[in-house]
Amino acid sequence: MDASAMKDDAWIAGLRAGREDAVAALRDRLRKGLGAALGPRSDVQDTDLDDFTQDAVLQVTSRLDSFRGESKFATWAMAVAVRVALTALRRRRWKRETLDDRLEAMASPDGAPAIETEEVRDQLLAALRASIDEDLTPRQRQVILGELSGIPQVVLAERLGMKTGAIYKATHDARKKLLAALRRKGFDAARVMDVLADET
Amino acid sequence: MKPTDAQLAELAKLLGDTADCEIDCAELLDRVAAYLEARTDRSALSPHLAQVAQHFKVCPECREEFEALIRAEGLDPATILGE
Repeated sequence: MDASAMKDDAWIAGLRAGREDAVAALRDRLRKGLGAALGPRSDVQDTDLDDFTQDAVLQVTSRLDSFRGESKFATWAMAVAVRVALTALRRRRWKRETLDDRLEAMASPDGAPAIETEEVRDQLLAALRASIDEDLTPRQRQVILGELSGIPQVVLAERLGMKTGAIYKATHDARKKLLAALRRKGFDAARVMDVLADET
Repeated sequence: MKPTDAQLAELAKLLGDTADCEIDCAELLDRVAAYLEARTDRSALSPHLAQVAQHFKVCPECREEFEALIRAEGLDPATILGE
């Protein structure tokens, strides 16, 4: 039985029961989708896709209780597979670089040069820079600067000994604090977007 | 460690899109398939799914995964991502 013929309830029941046809249909579907999504990337080989697929099958079958029936099962499973694959690729890309190396690089004079700016934009960025130093906890500062420097959440989480959900919460809390601080300094969300409207 | 002006400008834009109540990446994973199907069908987004769209504004990683999911499903990114 292939994926297209299998109804969601039967498919999920088959996976729960460990039926080979259900697992094979899932594996085939995910392998094909990951190939379409990631195949063109130069850092992805066929063996990677095979590995990602195998890991994704395990993840999907262990998370069946999370499927709420709000979409087709196959689409939900593919979303899980994409996350598994991209998380692995992010980890791989950052394997050699330490957190300190990356954060130190932010102080490098080779970073993007300051563009000639209008006074209001300068004031906004100066206010934001001060708030990062003054209004955030050390952990919030670490995660915000880590993400700004391009460190993936999964890598930040591993290096800081946190769960990825906690990383997201820390950045969300930090963003809310910074926004509140900017408001106190005369920059609400609408004004911030106005000031930066012409930048890509 | 000091961010550059360009990085601060990027952060400032994220602040502009920050909501008081946001879903995290784990919750997004459980909703993104339904979001994609709603966008494919061009049906109106429920508030439940509108939070997915907001999350994409502040989470580049989830946005990257969504674009990969579109390709994985054999869909046209321009159709799904366009307004």
